[in-house]
Amino acid sequence: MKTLVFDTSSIISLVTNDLLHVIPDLKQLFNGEFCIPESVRVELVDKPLASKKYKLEAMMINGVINTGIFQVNKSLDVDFLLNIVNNIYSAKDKPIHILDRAEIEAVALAVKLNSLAYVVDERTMRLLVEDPAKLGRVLSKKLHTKITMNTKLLKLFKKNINKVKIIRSTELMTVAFEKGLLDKYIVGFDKKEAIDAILWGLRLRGCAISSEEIADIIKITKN
Amino acid sequence: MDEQERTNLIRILQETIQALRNKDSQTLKDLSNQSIHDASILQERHAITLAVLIYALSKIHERQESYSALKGWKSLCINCDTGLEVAKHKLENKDYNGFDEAIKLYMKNLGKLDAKLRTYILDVFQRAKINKASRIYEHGISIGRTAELLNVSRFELMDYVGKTFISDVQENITLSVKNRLKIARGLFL
Repeated sequence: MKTLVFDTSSIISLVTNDLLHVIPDLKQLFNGEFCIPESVRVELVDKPLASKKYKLEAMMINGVINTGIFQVNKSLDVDFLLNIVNNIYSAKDKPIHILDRAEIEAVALAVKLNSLAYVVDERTMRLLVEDPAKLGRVLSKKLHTKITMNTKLLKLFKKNINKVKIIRSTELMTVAFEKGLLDKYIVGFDKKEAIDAILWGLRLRGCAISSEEIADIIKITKN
Repeated sequence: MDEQERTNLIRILQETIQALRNKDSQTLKDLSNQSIHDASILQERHAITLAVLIYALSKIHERQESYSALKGWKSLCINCDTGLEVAKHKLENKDYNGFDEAIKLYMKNLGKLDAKLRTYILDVFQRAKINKASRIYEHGISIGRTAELLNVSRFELMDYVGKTFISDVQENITLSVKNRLKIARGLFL
């Protein structure tokens, strides 16, 4: 069975832009399972349900989970991986804890299920998987200190995550747009304007995509 | 908390108290920035609390012209000075529980302020928390870890960072748009 694993950040971007309703149609086109680990469900539903501010979003996500659109997978034992990841970078002889359990569980689930891709809007995880040296440079530049990278642990991490492919909610919604799943947003608007609105909506609610990347996506979007 | 961290926090507290007495909001901001770098590396609870607190105080003092006319302003300033002195004293004596209690009491006292001033001040503290969280995220720590450290919602943090320029930093770009979109398109053939 083909799978796509989502982390907390990508689903937050979708729900806060009222784009969750696109997911069932996308899943049908995908012809496989959309998965999240239990810890991600807790972050998306249980925690915000306890507050007033994002209670509605929690209920909306819960609805999508209850209809089976997202398959919730049991928690994985990620202590080993968590320990590796949070000891890769050090400053002033102290390891920097860069990721939390739910983020690690999601990537571990993607590996376990041999998923075709991992949907993550959060920047740190993406950098760690795709360009760990760049993440080291960000840490060093922003913390104004020398960062040491433990290459042995980095190799171990890479070995554990294999070659996970990462996409963001922006690429997912671009495909949805190209497939006509967002046509109801376009009534009375130019298509370029519509994709611009969708991508900027996602960016402004937290998807880590640059203005330059948005402009590039708009240029190559098929419609 | 190791000795170096403790000494650093005491120094920051001492300089904060002095800046408050001098009504120097710029120094308060600089001190908050200094403490947030340490907080990102150490991720130590006390350092984070202090970074948020100092930033909030800098904001409050920036607006003191409007706030000082409100009932309760004077007692807020006195409580501020006393509260931070007590917290510093507790750290000097390695009484970490006492430090926590002093900060807790300080926050509790804010709740006793006159209604209008209290609303403003508590709002400043809430904003300070999310602002400092966004700085930690900017430093390279993930959304999840940052939210966990500052006890803020992931939803709120994403909404806040989305409106900053953090994503425009060149180092954040990894794969080309063309290649990433190719992966996405390949999933739905």
